Amino acid sequence: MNLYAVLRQPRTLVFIPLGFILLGYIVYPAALVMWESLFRDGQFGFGNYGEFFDPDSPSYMEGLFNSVMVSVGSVLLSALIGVPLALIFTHYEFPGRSVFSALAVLPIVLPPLVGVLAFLFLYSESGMVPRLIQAALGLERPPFSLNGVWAVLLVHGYTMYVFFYLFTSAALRGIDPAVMEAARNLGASSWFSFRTVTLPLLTPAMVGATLLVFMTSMNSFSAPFIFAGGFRFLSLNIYTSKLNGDMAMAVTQTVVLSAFSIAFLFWMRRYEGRRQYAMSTKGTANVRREIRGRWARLLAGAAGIAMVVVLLLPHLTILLLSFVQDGTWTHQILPQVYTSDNYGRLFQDPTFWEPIRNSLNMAVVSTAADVAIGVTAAYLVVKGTFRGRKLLDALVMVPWALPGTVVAINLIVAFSQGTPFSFGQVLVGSFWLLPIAYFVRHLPIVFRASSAAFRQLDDSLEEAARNLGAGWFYAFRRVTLPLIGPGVLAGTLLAFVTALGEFVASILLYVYDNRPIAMEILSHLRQFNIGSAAAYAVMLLLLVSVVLLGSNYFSRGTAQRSLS
Amino acid sequence: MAQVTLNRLTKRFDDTLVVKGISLTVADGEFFSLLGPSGCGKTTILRMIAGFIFPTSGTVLFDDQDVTHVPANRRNTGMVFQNYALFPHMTVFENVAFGLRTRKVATAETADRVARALDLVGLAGLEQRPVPQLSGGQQQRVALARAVVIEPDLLLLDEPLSNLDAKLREETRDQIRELQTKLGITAIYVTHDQEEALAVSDRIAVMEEGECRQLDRPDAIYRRPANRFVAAFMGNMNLWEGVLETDGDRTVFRHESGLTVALPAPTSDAAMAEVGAAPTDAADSAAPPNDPGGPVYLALHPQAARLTEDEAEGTVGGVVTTRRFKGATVEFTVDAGGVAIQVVENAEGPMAARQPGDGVRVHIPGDQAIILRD
Repeated sequence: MNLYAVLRQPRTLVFIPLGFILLGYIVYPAALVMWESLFRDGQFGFGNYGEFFDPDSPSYMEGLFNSVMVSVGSVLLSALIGVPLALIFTHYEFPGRSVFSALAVLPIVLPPLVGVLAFLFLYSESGMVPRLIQAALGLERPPFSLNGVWAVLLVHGYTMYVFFYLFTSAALRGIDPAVMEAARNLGASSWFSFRTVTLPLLTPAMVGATLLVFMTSMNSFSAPFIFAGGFRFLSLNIYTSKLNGDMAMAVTQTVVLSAFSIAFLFWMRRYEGRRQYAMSTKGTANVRREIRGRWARLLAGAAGIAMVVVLLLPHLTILLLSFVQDGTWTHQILPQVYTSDNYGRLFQDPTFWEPIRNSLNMAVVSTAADVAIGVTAAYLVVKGTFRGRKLLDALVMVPWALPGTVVAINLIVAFSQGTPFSFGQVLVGSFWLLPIAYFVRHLPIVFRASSAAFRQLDDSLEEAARNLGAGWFYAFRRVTLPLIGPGVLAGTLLAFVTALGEFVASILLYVYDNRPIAMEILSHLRQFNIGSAAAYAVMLLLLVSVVLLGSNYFSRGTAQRSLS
Repeated sequence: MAQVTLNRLTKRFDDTLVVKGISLTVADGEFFSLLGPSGCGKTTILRMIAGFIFPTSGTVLFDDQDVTHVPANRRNTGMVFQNYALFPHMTVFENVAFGLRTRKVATAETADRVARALDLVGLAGLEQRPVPQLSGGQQQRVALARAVVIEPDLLLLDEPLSNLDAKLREETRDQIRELQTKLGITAIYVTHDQEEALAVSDRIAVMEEGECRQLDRPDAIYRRPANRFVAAFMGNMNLWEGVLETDGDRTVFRHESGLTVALPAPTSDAAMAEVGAAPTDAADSAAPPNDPGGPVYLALHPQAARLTEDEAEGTVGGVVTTRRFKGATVEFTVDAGGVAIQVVENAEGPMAARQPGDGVRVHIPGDQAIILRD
């Protein structure tokens, strides 16, 4: 077969651009960073690693150690909140249960920086909650204040327990209730059957959630950035090294952080695979036990309301602050001067819209690319039969294990000079580097959602359509697309909202022309324009909520249609 | 071993009465079946006996002990679930040993009893297999071993065969009965398959919409269904609506198509005794077609009807519409002037070769017809 014939094959037409993009924007930057970490002042060797692991100046090691410790702490804290919540909402019935269980996922609409800000204004030394308690009880000093490593842990616990909650709830729904009944029938007490049956069956979900929380926590940037003070974190250290112009150390830390993340990913993956059980379905319907007794119901209701208050406080704080006139809130416990000016500027100041427009533009562009590449790759990995499917799968998922800081540093190193992948252009300092970072970071989201959808798609459905006389395209449009559509759409919208609020890669890659909402919030904050910062945060929250609600509505609608 | 007594047991889910005042007693060591279509309340009754749900009213007694509100884990019943409900994260051994662990049986004794239970169901040697690797039939037997190893007072079986293929079902069915007999354990068996229930049970309660429509030994239920529901549920019985008339000293069943079946002398016939109205009344009053007793139903097993060529008394002419070859027997449907008659013939018999379209006569033996009012 000559070259022309090979090029004309449809498969080649798909593989060449796919390979070009994955190679250029994922493999090449990572490889280059690894390569550069081996040079110190132009000398090849392990000098950088020697410095990193130098027992005499442990500051770098400290960052790594702290990152790991905080991640472990975050996993424990998140599990401690998320798992009991899931158990209670799945097994018991009490007034308001469905509302509370829906609200339990609220932290997920908070973009990273926004959530951290809310905690800063709520619980830090000058925060509203400690000072209100101080005033109420007439104490000399605030009873507590949040900073340093504890603040980071708490923010992580608040935002990441949702993973444990969602994973555990889903797993509990998946357990055949007859299995629990069998345990009871054989004489097991509630505790014994929980310990020997429920808990082992939840293991895969727990492993999945642990993995997600650990990685998110290792990669976490906003919380340490705002709260850490003198405390060292690896992801934050990379940022400071880069700011200080020590690129050699920045890339070295990047390699260490990636190595840790990827190693952890593979370790957990193996464990996850080993403990997966196929559950037989049918059996009996899950029955929630009704909480009876007036006091028990009252207690459940009160606990539920307290939970909602704690969960909603950050959202409400941001909303409240968005009405504060810039520069008026200094030493008072609560802001004194309120105004709608922060929103008024929406209609008067055309530059107000710029960051929002930038974020929207970049999110649209990067998500479109995610869909094009992610869905194609998912189709090839799930339905394809060629060799190298596993490799493709791994390549697309690599960015998932890479912290945002790492992705940003990789791209900076790779595109600070012209490369074939950028058609000879230097991308650092241009508009394009940031959307590329969004694309790379969120590719796994679309890919995972799409491959899950493809995996559930029974091949015989398409065959049935073809058998009934449908052409390839008609079968795709009327059978395949409606079935994979909701899954792909959910992934796409998630990638889109994540890009809207992205902060970690943005802070390293943004230029004035593409400054996203998160950077605008930060810069207002630095000038103590609390009201303006909060107004942007509210805009961001609104955008995210609208998209997520729409996604939820749409996918639920399709599910109902497909049932009827 | 225990005797189980249900006393006016009812269960309400939201606004639906699922079980409507069931009273019955299962004798010690008896194999008792609850038979009925889905939604008839049979599984709900079983789950109340197991203690997974509690009755709205009424009581459950094991021997003389009221266990109505005793939690499931203190009832000492062994249950086999429809989908087996094996613990997917445990091996065969761990599954069977689970009930012994909850009873804090010593390790050595546990190993011994598990081995014996697995031997009993023919699974010795598979102790260390993870359950997901077993076939459906093997999983079924693990579930059985797990239920009997605890030496329960009562064995509860919730459609245990419904997930097996037809061939395996019969084999397993007989194994369950054999095991139950060997252990002398009281068993309550829930099924919607009348053949299964007939084959294994000492007694059967046929359920419909939360009520017991007939409770008797299998042969009695088969031969003398108490009402149309039971007759229809027991297989493809001929069931015709009509009226009773008197013809001289005899009672005759008349279908609206004109088909008549002469019934034997009432006094000697048990079938008539089961009919609510005394047959002598009908004879005395020479009841017109729409007598106050209203319509009655005639039930006849297809095996009782015969294809023939003689135009003898008690026969009716018709045309074969379908023929199903079943191996040992052949099933015919004959259209006799608007009545479809099911007939089962021995495959070796002289009439077995008749084909659809052939004209035949059908002999309907009045002495085997069952007259039902309900």
